[in-house]
Amino acid sequence: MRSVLCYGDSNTYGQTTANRPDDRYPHDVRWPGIVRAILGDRWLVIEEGLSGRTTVSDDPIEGAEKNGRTYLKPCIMSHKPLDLVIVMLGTNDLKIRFNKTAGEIAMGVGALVSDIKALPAGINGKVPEIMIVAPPPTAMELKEWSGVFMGAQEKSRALAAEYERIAEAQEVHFFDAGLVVSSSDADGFHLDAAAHAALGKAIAEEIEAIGWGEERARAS
Amino acid sequence: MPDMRFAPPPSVRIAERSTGMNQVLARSYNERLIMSLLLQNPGLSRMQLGEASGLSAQTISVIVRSLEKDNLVLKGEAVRGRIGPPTTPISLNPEGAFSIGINIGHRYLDVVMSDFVGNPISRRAFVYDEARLDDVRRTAREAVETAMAEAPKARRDRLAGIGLSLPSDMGPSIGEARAILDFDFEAELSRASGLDVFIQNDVTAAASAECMFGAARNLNDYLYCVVTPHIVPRLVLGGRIYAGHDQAFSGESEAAMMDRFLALRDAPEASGDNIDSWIGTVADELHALIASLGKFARVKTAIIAGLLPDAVLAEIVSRLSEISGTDSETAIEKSRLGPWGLAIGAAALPFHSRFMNDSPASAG
Repeated sequence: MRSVLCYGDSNTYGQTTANRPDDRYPHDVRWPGIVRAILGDRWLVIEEGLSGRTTVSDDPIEGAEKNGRTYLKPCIMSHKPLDLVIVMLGTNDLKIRFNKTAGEIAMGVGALVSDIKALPAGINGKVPEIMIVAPPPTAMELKEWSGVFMGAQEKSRALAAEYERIAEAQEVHFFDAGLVVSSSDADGFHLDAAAHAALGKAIAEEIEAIGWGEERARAS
Repeated sequence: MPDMRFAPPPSVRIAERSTGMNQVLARSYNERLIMSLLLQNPGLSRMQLGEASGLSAQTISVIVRSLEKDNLVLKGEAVRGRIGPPTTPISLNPEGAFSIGINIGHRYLDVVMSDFVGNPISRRAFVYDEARLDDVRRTAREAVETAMAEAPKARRDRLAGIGLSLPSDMGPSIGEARAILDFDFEAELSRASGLDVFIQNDVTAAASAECMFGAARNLNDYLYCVVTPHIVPRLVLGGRIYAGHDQAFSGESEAAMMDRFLALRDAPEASGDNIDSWIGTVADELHALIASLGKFARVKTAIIAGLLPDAVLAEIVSRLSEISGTDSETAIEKSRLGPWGLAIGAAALPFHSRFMNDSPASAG
């Protein structure tokens, strides 16, 4: 059985679009659950989503534990050996408190890729395959979140191209979630249940599209 | 100075952001490896490319994506912004790059424009009584200018360069021959065209092209014989090309024979008298050559090329196979480069330098 780690933020955790802090979609509705349903007999799908997670920043308001970089290494080492690591982060980096351009958010993702490559967490001590997923752009209307996400509408629309640059420079897989889903109009930056279903289906296809050949020999 | 490990990454190679062909021409070693594999095995899937190259799935995906953006490869079905199934066959795009090939001979100058997989898109032959430097210079320059002027802009924009090939001996007039062989065609033609110029011996270039897109695909060891008025052999061992001695025919004068060749190539149906006995003579000579080589080295394949219509070459190959008999250790193959094979060989030079790694045969 192969294994994939889905490393992300509230849109991997399954935060609902309703404005209730602890409201979470059930496991089989969240996109990693959709991937599990599609690939389940051949893949162990590990879900590691945290609301508010950034690429590489401690959050001065929400706390240092939101830093995607400090948690990445222990997380990967906990789940190794891994065939594939999927990283879908960047939405929270759009918050005005981080004052980052789209290009710098992408560089944060690039830093995570470098960190993954530095760990022998793949099969037989190799580096796992890595896929970076550009989050969908925010809605134009961010309602009560417009202050927090000031300027995010424009920056989020530039993320996919910047992520693709990073993916190409780092030679990793890339997928633009914006091809298949949009942020919900309910709050402007979360995915609704239908979007989780569409994203899960697309990511399952992307995982298959990598091409895995014969089941590799595992260190017993 | 900032820590350069965290410098912004280079731009994605997206056609609209790139600087045209220059960007297309600068390819990494791994990209060249993938293109070489696709040239030799059209229709390999990403998974097969991974197995053949030993590169990771992610590296292959990135390379295929980038080659696809530059129109150098075609995928079976395009999915917008997605890489598609790993088993989709991938091939080089014949329209992905073009080049101009010029082959200078004793009595003729051939010019072809070749697509990325070695098909001649356009061709012209110029015949003169005897190669003189001034004529050859002017003809070559005008041929390049004409080929470029006639090509649609899209093709002109995708020219990888000019390949020029010459025989090792330029015919009877020592002074003129020397002048032609010593002349700086590179400077002359790159001034006239703005393109890079690559120069090589004609038969060596053809042997290498045969390995890229002809009958010698995936062969490391073969004997290559080009029938011009001489028989010009090249032995290819381990992908390296070794020159031998040209074998002249007895009898008919070389100039007269060349004229017949060129006439025959222009009008294959008017093959005329004595062609049959001539084919027999060539087959005998080739047989003797292969037999004598066999005393020193076992070569499984001999590839026969020539400035001849396909039907005539096919006849030579079938006679030769008859003479050699079924117990022969050497299989006889017909070149796939066609009657303009020497010019196609020249046209392959820019592709080889720009897009391939060193797996196709190189001059030894």
